[in-house]
Amino acid sequence: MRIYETTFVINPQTDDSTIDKHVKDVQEIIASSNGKIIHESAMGTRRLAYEIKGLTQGYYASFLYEAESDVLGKLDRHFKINEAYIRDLTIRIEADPEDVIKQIDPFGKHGSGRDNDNDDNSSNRRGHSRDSSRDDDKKEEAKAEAPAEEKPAEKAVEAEEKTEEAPAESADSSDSSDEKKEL
Amino acid sequence: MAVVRGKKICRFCENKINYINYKDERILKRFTNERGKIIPRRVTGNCAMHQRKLTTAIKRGRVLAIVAFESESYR
Repeated sequence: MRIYETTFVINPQTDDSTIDKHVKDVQEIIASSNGKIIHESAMGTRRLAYEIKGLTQGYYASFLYEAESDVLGKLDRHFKINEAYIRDLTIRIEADPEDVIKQIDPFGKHGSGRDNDNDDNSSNRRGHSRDSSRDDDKKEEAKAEAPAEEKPAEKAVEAEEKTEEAPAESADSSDSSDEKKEL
Repeated sequence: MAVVRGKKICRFCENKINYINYKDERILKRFTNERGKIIPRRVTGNCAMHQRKLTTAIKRGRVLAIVAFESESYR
């Protein structure tokens, strides 16, 4: 028995029940190999960083589980046969699963989170305010699990980062605006 | 006029992060430049161990289309 994490992307251009079925199929395959799911997360529909098969969005879901190694072949076959899956990745987790769960996606707790995150890729670095709000979410989660010693440290990091990046960023933004003019 | 900076500290060590989540776009983006290239640790100040883990995470994220292999082509 080994711990694996499988993440896959489903074509979102179907109804929700079909997507749920695709997710459930994967779950059943894992169960068929004596699998025990440790953590599951649905990141929902989000924008793809690059186009795949003409699609710009994908529905992300992920399972962290312990199973026999024959599950890998079964999953691979399943993903290859079914065209609804546009990407899949299974990795062996060698770290402590507790650590992994702690870092797992911040959207996981807020339900399916579909259509939440669509225009996030548009701005590269200027989304500081948005990021910080998300940081807060994360901090709250962290508080529930661990003592809150992280908070000042992280703030310091953020501040340091800002000072470091400030000149570069301004240069970047001027660059990009120049570019837009050219276009 | 040289700018004197203190020694950089690995942010992952500082926050005691042992595992870097390859699905967290926020972290992966922070350590790549606008073209999608991984920023060297001489710039970010990451320790060797975390830079290794981060590199793996970014590459996994690229496969899953969470971060781009490359973006914004310049002419």
